[in-house]
Amino acid sequence: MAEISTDQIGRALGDLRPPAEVDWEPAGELRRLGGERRARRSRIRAAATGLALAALVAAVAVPVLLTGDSPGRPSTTTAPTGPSPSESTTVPATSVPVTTVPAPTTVPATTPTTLPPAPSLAPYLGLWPFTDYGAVQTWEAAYQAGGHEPWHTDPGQSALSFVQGYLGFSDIDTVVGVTTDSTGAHVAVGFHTSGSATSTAAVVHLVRWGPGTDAPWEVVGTDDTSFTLTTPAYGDGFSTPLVVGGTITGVDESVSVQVRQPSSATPLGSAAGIPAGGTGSPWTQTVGSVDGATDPVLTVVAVTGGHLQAHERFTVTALLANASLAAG
Amino acid sequence: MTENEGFDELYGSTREDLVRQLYALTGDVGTARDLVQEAFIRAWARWDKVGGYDRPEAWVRKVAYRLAVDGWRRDRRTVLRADVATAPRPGPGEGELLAALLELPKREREAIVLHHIAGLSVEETAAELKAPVGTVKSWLFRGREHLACLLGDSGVETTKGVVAGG
Repeated sequence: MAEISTDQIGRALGDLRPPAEVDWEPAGELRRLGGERRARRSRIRAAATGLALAALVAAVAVPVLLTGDSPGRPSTTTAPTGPSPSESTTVPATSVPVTTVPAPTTVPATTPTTLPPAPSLAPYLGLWPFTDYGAVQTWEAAYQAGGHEPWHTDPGQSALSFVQGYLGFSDIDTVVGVTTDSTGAHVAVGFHTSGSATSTAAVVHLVRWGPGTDAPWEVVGTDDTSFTLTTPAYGDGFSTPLVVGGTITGVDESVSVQVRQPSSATPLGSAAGIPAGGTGSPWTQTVGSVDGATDPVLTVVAVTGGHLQAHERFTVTALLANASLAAG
Repeated sequence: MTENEGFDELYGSTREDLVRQLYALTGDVGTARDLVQEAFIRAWARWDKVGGYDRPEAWVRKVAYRLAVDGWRRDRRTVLRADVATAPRPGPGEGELLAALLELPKREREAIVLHHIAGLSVEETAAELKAPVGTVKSWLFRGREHLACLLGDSGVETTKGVVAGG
């Protein structure tokens, strides 16, 4: 076999060109779409500021929540003992039993009277557990004061809590593996099939929200391969009826869809399972109505199962809710 | 120059280069175009800041790369394999080169694209990837070695005028 020099490789790469002319949108159309995003962000920022101020008022009124184990305090889960996240580290498969599912973090705490610029999650959207940076700051203050809800500092536990506590898939109960890199943490969650064998239900993508080692993990999506949710696109505004779709590889699948928000215990909308299967086959489902959207970001989750257990694979995407609310 | 004119000029003068880079990163020209346009939409949404940067095109490129790598098209891998097999190719060599490029580990591929296609220096590539210069040199070396190995195995032309294999 003839050798190819790395110089030749370099020249070949320099010559690489797209195979076809690109059909570009006019710059004016991109400006129009960008302007809409800017307006939407302004509305979300205004709403977040209002929530943070409300938290400040609540913190003054209910200081006992910071220090006591009052009956109304949300339940917590002991954080798993394992290595802390580090750059480009893969943690071997472990099973993390969860006995008590943490609730979304809403505990008020001391909040600065002058709000610093909120760190952005861009290009991502925060799905859970925090709905805005004010809530992150609230938790950080409580955590630094008394170790409140330490599971936020563990991506594996955060991912599992997202699946069980938020999505309600209690049969997905195992962290199969955790990988961290410059883009955040990628947590494979799944379940035991037989003996020590596990099946991965999804890879949950989390990023730290804010600077510092105490910055909590926020779920921003899933890394999908054989089961995808591509319609509506990540970051789109939502409208009803909501047409949801993607592709799936599998046999005798049944895809159902839910729309959720962190502040609601039950889905805002749902669509029952439809048969699907094949190799990279498209699936589509329609959620007829979505009622009660108040949070800035909604979670759309598609789940399939029924072979070994009710929930075997899932995929999520994030939608902006405020555009629809403003329009409505 | 007005804000609109500044944005339009940036879009017109950099989009072709950007789509070439994203094409090398994703393997699909339609995806590359979508990613570049999405990055420009986000740039305009933040133009009050981005427009004031010394090199706003670097911000757009970074956003487009992030979108490509981190999952805006989260079914990327599935789509890519299919697209590489079926998409029209400019020539027999470039198709195989692209397919080989897509086989590289993510960081090696990013480094290769930034250095060899975007034309950044090793130091600029390191800054872009937030990695030490020595690490980037290692990625580039290993990436080229991998490409040479993959293209050698395929026994096909690597690109115009460069014959390999056999």
